[in-house]
Amino acid sequence: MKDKHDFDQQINAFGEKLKTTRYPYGEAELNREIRRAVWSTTPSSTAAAQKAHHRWWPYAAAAACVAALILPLGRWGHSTDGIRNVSIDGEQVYFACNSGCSPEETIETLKTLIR
Amino acid sequence: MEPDEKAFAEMVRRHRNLIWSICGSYRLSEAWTTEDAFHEVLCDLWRGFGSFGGRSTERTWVFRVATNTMISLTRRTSNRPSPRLTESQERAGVSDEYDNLTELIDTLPEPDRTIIKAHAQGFSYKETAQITGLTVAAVSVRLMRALRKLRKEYDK
Repeated sequence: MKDKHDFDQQINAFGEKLKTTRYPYGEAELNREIRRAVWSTTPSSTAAAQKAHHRWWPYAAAAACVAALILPLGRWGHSTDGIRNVSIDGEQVYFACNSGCSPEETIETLKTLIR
Repeated sequence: MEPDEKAFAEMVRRHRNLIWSICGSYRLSEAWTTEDAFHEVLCDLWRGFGSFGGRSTERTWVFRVATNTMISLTRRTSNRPSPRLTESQERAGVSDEYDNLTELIDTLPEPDRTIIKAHAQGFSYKETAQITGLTVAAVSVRLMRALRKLRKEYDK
């Protein structure tokens, strides 16, 4: 059996040790740590990185162009065979097509219209 | 440096010793150093810095965030205690002399472990209640029980 005061002394010593513990590095290291923490958790830097990585706007612009071209085609009134999808620069683009053309023919038509 | 960052840096400077001491008082797996833990705590402090509403003292808030980070880190990274102290833990002030007591405290369930550490750091019952989300009465009762349990184990 240990001394009955031993535990109290140890608890007090433990508390003192915690209270007197000092950050072991200098100001420069601390500043670097602070900057690193701020940079790695700031949403704007994360969002900027994601934005640079995922360039979605060219696809949105292409989709808008296609929609603008398809709508007049639809109004010209051909046969009705519903939704089509074509691949433009590796992206599948879905649009309403009433022309009855094959995807290849539709792309050629679109290219002619764009020119 | 943005104004918020400047205020944050000032706050970290004021409490660097407390943060370091909390980081060093938890046993992490060997792959994690106190420096790694310190970085994790700073990240969490920065994430929460904007929402610190002053409902408790700054020191209490820092202790709460740092403790929560360390509890989560311990759960995530370590299923077993480190068999020996790392160099950085020795620098953090965890020496062999207190090793037994630290190990015993680590065996306590939460929130008793946090209550003991807050008590050892000199936080009042009211501040410890703010840290743990318990009532002052509950903190008082849990502290007494945890100390009794520790004493019993220590005397074995």
